Amino acid sequence: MIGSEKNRLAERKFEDTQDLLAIQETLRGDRRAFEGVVRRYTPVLYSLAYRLLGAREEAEEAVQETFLRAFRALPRFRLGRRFHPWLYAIALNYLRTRYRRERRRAALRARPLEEALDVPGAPQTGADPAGEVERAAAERLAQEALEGLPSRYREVFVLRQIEGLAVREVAEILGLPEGTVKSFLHRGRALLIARLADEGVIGPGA
Amino acid sequence: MSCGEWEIRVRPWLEGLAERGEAPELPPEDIAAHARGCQSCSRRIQAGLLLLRGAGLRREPDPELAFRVSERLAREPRRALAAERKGLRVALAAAAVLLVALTAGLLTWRFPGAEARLVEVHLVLQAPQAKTVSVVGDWNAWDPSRDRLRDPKGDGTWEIRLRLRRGEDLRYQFLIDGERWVPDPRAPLQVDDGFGGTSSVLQI
Repeated sequence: MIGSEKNRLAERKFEDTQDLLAIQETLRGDRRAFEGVVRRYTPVLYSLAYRLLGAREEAEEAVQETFLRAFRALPRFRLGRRFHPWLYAIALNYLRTRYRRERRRAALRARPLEEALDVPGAPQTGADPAGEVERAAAERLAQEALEGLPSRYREVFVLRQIEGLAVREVAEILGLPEGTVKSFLHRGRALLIARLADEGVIGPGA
Repeated sequence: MSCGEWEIRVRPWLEGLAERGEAPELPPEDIAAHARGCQSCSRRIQAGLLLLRGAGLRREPDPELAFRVSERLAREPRRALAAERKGLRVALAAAAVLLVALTAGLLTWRFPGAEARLVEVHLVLQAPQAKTVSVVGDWNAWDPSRDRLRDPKGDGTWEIRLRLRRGEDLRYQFLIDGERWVPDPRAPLQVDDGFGGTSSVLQI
C-alpha cells in the first residue's frame, strides 16, 4: 500500500527545496543544475504518461515535451511557488491534448503482448516465462480498465494510487478540493472493478 | 464469457476490497483454488490486485530517457532563458491585468448557397500581454498548433475566422502562450471541461 501521508509530505518538502535551488542555479545560467531536476522527475512523469496514454513511445515523447516546455517557461516560474505541481500541470496540459480515446484504444488493441512484457529496468528472471505472460496479460487488462475511466478519475487514480502522491499534492496539481480527490479515488476504484467485470473476454485462450 | 464463480464469489470479493481500499498480497484460499483452474478469473484477480495495490503498475522509463531529455535541452538556445527573463517582469506585472482584461466577442454568420452546411465563425479575444493565442476545440482535436489567432494591429485584439460544420455543439477553449487555458468569456454556454475547468460551447 501507499506509504503514510505524513512521510510522503516530509519527503516532499525536502525535494521542494532541492528543486528551488536547482532552478535558481539554472536561471543564473548553470544549465547542468536542471539535469538533476530532469533525473528526479523523468521516472514519475514517464510512469504517469504511460498510464494515461497507454503506449511507450507516446509516453517518452510526453516526457521530452514536458521538460522542454518547462525549461522554456522557467523564467516565468515564480520562485515562491513549489516546482513540482507546476511541472505536473505542464505535463497534464500536454497529456490532455493527447487523449484521443479512439486512437489510443486502437493502438492498445494492436499492441503486441511483447510490449507489456518488455519492462526496461525490471528484473528479467526468465525463470517463469508462463508466469510472466500471465502477469503481462493481467497488466494489460488493468491498463484497459484504466483507459475506460473518465479522464479526471484516471488522473486522480494514477497520481494517487499508482504514483503514490499525497492526497494534498494531487488536489494541488489538479486544482480540486481534497474531498473531491478522495471521492474520485473511491469511486474510481469501484469503476475499475466494474470494468474488469465487463472485460470478460481477454483474448484467445481465455 | 461468464463464470459462475466470478459472479458469486470473486467479483463481490474484489468489490469489497475496492470499497475498503484494501489490497491483500494473496486472495483467500477458496478463490485462489478456483483461479488455478480458471484463466479468466485468474487474470482478472491479478489485474484487480495490481490496480488496488497501485505501485505495481508504475512503469520504469528506459534508463537513457533522462539523458536524452537533457541532451535535447542542451540544444535550446542559451539566449532563450535570458531573453525570456527580461520579459518576465513585464509578464508578471501584466498577469493580473490580463485576467481582468479578457473579453471576447463572438460573431457567427452563415455561408450562402452550396456551402450552407459550413458556418464562418469569428472568434475574438482581448489578451493584451499574450505572445501567442490558439483556439483548441472539438473541431481541431484540441491541437494548439492548428488554429492560431492573429493580432494584426498589435493591440491585444486576437482574432481568427474559422469555417465549421453546422449542427454540432463544439466545445473549445483559448490557449494563451501555450500554457494558460481560458474559456471564451463571451460565449453564451459554458460546460465543465472534465479537468476542473470550463469549456465554452459554440452552437451553430
